[in-house]
Amino acid sequence: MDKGSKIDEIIEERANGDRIITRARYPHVFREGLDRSVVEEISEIKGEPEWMRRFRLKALEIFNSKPMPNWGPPLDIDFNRIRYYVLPDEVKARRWEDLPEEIRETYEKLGIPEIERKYLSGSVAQLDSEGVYANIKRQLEEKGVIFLDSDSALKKYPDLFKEYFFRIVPVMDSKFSALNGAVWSGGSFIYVPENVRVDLPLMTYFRMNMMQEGQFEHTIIIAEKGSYVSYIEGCTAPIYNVTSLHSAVVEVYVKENAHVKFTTVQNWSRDILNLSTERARVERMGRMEWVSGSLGSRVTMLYPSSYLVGEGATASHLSISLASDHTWKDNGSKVIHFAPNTSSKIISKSISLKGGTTVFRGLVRIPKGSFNSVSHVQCDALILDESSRNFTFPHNEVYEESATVTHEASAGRIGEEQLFYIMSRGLTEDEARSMIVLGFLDDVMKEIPLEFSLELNRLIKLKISELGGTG
Amino acid sequence: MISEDDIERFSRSRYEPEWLLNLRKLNLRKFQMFREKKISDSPIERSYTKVDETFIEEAMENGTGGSFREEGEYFVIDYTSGGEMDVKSSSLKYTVLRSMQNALVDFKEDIIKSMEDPRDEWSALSNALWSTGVFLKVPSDRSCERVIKFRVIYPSKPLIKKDVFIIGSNSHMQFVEYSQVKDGFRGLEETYLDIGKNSTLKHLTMVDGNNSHIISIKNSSLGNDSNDEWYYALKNLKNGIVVTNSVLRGENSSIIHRGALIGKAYEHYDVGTNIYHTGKGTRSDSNVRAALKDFSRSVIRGRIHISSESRESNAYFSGNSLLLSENAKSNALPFLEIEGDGAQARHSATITNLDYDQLFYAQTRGLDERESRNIIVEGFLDPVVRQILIYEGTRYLIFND
Repeated sequence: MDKGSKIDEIIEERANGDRIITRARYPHVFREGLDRSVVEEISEIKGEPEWMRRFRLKALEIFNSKPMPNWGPPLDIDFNRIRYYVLPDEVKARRWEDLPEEIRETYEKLGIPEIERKYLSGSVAQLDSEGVYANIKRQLEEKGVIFLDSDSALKKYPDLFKEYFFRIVPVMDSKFSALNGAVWSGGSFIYVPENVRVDLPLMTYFRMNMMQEGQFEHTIIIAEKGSYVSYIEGCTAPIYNVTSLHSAVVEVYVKENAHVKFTTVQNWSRDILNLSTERARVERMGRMEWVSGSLGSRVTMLYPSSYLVGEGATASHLSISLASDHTWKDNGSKVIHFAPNTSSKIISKSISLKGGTTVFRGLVRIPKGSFNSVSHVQCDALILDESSRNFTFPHNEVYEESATVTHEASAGRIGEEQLFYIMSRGLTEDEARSMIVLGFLDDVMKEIPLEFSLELNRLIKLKISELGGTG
Repeated sequence: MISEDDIERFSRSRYEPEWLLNLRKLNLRKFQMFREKKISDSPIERSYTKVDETFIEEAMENGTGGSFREEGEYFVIDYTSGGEMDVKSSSLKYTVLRSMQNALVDFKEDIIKSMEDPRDEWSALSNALWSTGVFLKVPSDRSCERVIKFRVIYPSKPLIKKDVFIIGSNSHMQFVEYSQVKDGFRGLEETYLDIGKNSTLKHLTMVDGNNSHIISIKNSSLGNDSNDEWYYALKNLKNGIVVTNSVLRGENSSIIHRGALIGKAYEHYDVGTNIYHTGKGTRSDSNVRAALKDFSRSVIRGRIHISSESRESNAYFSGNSLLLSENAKSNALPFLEIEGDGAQARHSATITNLDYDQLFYAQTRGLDERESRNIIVEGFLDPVVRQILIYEGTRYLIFND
């Protein structure tokens, strides 16, 4: 594909202020690989300010200088075989009807009937690397809530964006946060003003359509004093057989007395490497809740973290992960109690089957001076067959006398007696198995919004039944 | 760092057989391998404890030493002086007790077995460089009726030693080890325990560190239906690294480990319990308890590894820390590595402070604050303290609080 001329065309059209309409399905297919020129092109196409261009280039330098992590799951990424930017043919659609037929169809296949979207308070549906659909309900706008895709937010609210961009996750945090800094594109930007409660959850669907395409969204959530927001991110991707890379950064700022609930339901396809960074900064009496259900992907390395910087801040991390078909789920949670009277709760449930590996890597650190901080960590694992594995690597560090940290974990199989008992009630082995598994997940499942937990339930039942009677 | 030539010179100067030299070289290579190994578990796992490794070369220069004598009910192993290391005590009957060097000829097979497969870098290093140690063997079907009590006296100069305890099948043994350490000792010691099928071993280790830096490794290998019960208590170690590697290779073998430590001043303890379940129907139950005063710090590690061939196994590890001062610190790293669906493993870890309700309650019963604290700490360390009382009749850990 003649890339150069396409870019020129688009830049030209953009300069004319026209909406871009092209026949090509993917007008912008970058060459594979990553260097300065790619980063500069991305920045140029997006029409970004100078500081962002410089920031991207700096991030690229950091990315190149950082080594790959020498721990964790096996990662064999050829960074030169990944496309770092894709632009769907529709840049921005104002109304549902403006969305291309194809995209609407995919959404329907995902189980989101058109009627249901009306219940969604507003949605930024991300198709490939660009927010395609941005629909914000009027009442939210009236309340002063900003819910945009990150690219639009950068244009509309440059100062606000700059203030919070790569603050809690420093760009030099890890190789992959630097990568996101260099090539980020899309993601959500949410700003909730003081004392505003957003009653309906804000939702977005992520989707990756092109083979070997990277998706590097950058999500920022700012909850001002006394506000409440619940954000739901759902990710699915169709199955391709060449490795794709997903490396997002999520930054959540929870101000005094604010409450943020961040829910991710993730079902990447089996080819995707999901190496994301998620972090929240919680101020005085703030509350941060992470809820995640993670099912797909070839390798996931995802450790949502909460920095409790204000007195009385709390964090809760609930996660479900399921690894099957030789995939590797490396999940965990990190909570650092920087302030007194803070509390945290981490509950992780993992299931491995059909050669899958689940790993829990957790860190709870209570530095000196964080009086009376309390933390509880619980990680349970269920292993459904011989070839699957579970590893648990928690780190609990306490440097403060008055703190209390408790940790418990268990790993094991489905008890024969349990199975027998349920089967004696007239259920088949499959049904009994999935009933036990769902019961095992129940603590976390009930925190996941209904439509997602239904979807998850369906998916888990499907996975269990694939095992057949041999499991 | 030590090279193979150094090992060769060291071994030749001690007139050691060729096979031992080769084993030492193999272990040195393994040591380097462990060092270079990709960290796959945790990026910060190794950052908790820093080890001053200068003692290694000094220990090589110091060479052999050690004498052996009986004092009342104790066998005293004194590494401060050279001398005769063999004992022929009529009370031991069939049990063989020798120095490692004197066991090289008669018990070659046992020593090879103890050196073939080191589980971690420290075991490999001690295999490569040990200069002295004790060899004990209880033959099959000949239980050692007497509770053997060792008093081990460590010198002030660096030392690397290796002990080998072989328990044959269908036998039974109990021993108590009481380590007295001279001020400022730095060293590495490894104990290899091989418990044959249908045998039991119960042992108690007490270390009074006297400001020393000790790396103490216990490797045990259990045969079918065997049992290993170990209680250990540590105190006064400036820098104490205690690692247990237990391989439950036999069917229905089981272990019970109970550790207790009291930290004070700027002491640093790193206690690791690694349990590898490979046999069917194996059981393990381990518990480490640390009471920490002043500026002391503990790192409690646990690693339960259940391999896929192990079926119907059950493992439990728990680590508990009690912080008694505002500057005490504790880290808990209880790891689980489970392969396959054949087993159940659980672990728990708690880090808490002194319960003031308990303190108040004890005081209403007429105890003063110091006594109440002691009684709570003693209760906390009870699983080990009780065993010490059974064998020694003293409240070893608490009495000089």
